[in-house]
Amino acid sequence: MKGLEKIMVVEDDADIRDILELSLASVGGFQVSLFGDARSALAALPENRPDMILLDLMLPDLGGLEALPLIRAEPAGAGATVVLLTAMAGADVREEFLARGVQEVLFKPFDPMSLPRVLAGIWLATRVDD
Amino acid sequence: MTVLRGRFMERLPARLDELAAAFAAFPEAGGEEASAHMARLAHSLAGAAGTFGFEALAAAARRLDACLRDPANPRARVAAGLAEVSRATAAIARDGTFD
Repeated sequence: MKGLEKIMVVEDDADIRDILELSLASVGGFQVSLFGDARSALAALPENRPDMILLDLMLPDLGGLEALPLIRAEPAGAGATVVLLTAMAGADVREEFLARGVQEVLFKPFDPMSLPRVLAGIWLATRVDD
Repeated sequence: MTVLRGRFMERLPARLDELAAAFAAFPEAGGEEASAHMARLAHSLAGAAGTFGFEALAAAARRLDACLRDPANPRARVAAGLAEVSRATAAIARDGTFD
């Protein structure tokens, strides 16, 4: 099974992007690409070909759930593990988003030091059949 | 991490200005677009503040976000929520809260 290497972050909040870069690139050692909106991330998908996409729920152009079918329609995004980022809390929220087609939901606030381990676990869980 | 928290604190006044500007555009009778924009700003602030360990600010921003998502809430309630966020931001600036 291929390991998790390339993570695309789609997050409009500059502070969260900074901390995700620190967490995933510096702590986790992943190849990280950062985008502030969904459309620029979609445009970069064919070249970027991420293993995993961290997708913020609330984005200025397209929301994460609106962007999801467009990501899936791209060959480079069809097989990516998509993790939705949100500050909304609650188990019912998670179930709702999973039903909409994301592989996992990550709630803010998150611990940047343990995040690489959490994402590696999500990656393994979503790739068991590969 | 300390550097990023410092950067977050530096950006706080700009975030508050954005919220205040969004509130100024908030009509007396609500308005879906204005409240959605302001809710997005509050939601974003809640997530970032919590991630950097500023719990009081995160909680205030979450309450403002929730308040904005209920169209039945009057402008005065939104104003009270914004004031709470403002106070929490001021406390961080005053105390230089690095836990």
